[in-house]
Amino acid sequence: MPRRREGRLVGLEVDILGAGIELQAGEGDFYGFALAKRLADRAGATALTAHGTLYKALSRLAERGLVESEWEDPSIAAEEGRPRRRLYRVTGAGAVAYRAETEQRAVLAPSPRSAFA
Amino acid sequence: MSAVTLGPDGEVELEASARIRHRAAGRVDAAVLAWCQWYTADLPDDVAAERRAELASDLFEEREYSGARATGSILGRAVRGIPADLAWRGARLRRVALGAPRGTFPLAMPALAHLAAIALVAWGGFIVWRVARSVLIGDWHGAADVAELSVVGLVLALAGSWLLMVARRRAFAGLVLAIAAYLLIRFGTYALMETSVSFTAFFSTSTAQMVLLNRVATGAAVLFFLSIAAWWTSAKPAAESAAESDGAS
Repeated sequence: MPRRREGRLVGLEVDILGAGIELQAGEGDFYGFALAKRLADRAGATALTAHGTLYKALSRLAERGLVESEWEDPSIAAEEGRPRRRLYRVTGAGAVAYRAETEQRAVLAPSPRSAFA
Repeated sequence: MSAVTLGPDGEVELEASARIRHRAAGRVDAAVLAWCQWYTADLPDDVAAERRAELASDLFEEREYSGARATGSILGRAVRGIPADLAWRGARLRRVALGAPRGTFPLAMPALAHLAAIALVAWGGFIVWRVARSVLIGDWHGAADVAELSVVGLVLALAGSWLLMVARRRAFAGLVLAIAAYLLIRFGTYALMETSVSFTAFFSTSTAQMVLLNRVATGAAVLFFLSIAAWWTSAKPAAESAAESDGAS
């Protein structure tokens, strides 16, 4: 597991925020399985993120105020005959943190061409 | 956002919602939910209910998306997530411990009880294995009831250890383990004696002391498990106490 640097986000957290921002742009919010599916699609992977890993990361992001969650109205879930979804949204702070992290990573990532310079 | 905040009866509503199963759900889904039930067992009710409901929803949605083909993926996701589940549980328990009133020992007491229960199961397993081996090779000359009581003791020790994992059943687990300790130490020692010539010889050289030792060990173990039962009968679960003290402050 990558070591966390103070104030920085780990890879999965960046991916969650990125995928979350995409999902909520279309749907307004997102839930666990939709997020796992989007993460796999973005990475071109067939395996979905493990339950424990995904929900632990979401819980960590919620504690830092980068995502917020609410439980879906029970009547909607009852009407569709399924368990209630926990609906997440990336907060303003989450969007800012995502942009800052991706920018920092872009700056820090060595260009492949620099090896031949 | 069409959503509601978890109300006072929110946990009950979530638990009810989490019981909805997809028509394609099978044993793997049940096993994953049982695992979640276990690792959230002694966490605060709202935290546990939310995790179980969230997982139930995830399983349902994956079944809805992939149907019967989701079984391998669900199993893989659950297994790969075990370290994260345990780390999350540990962090939550530490938070409960930090908020718990002084003298409630929400981490130390369960750890001590689990350790004692494991020791009792190991002792019972050893006795039953020795007796079974002795019977199979035709070397058993002891009384049948001593062997039977040892087996009953092991079954009770296993049941008690399982009950100990569920926070609300810990007082009852203490009682079950006290009975198991009585059977396994009081009669198990005699059963063990029948399976070992050297142990019999050792016992017969100092019978009075060995009988005394057996009774003291039995008494100590039974008292320990009865104390645990009394501790959890009188005390509220740490999670509840912590929640109450949070509410009061």
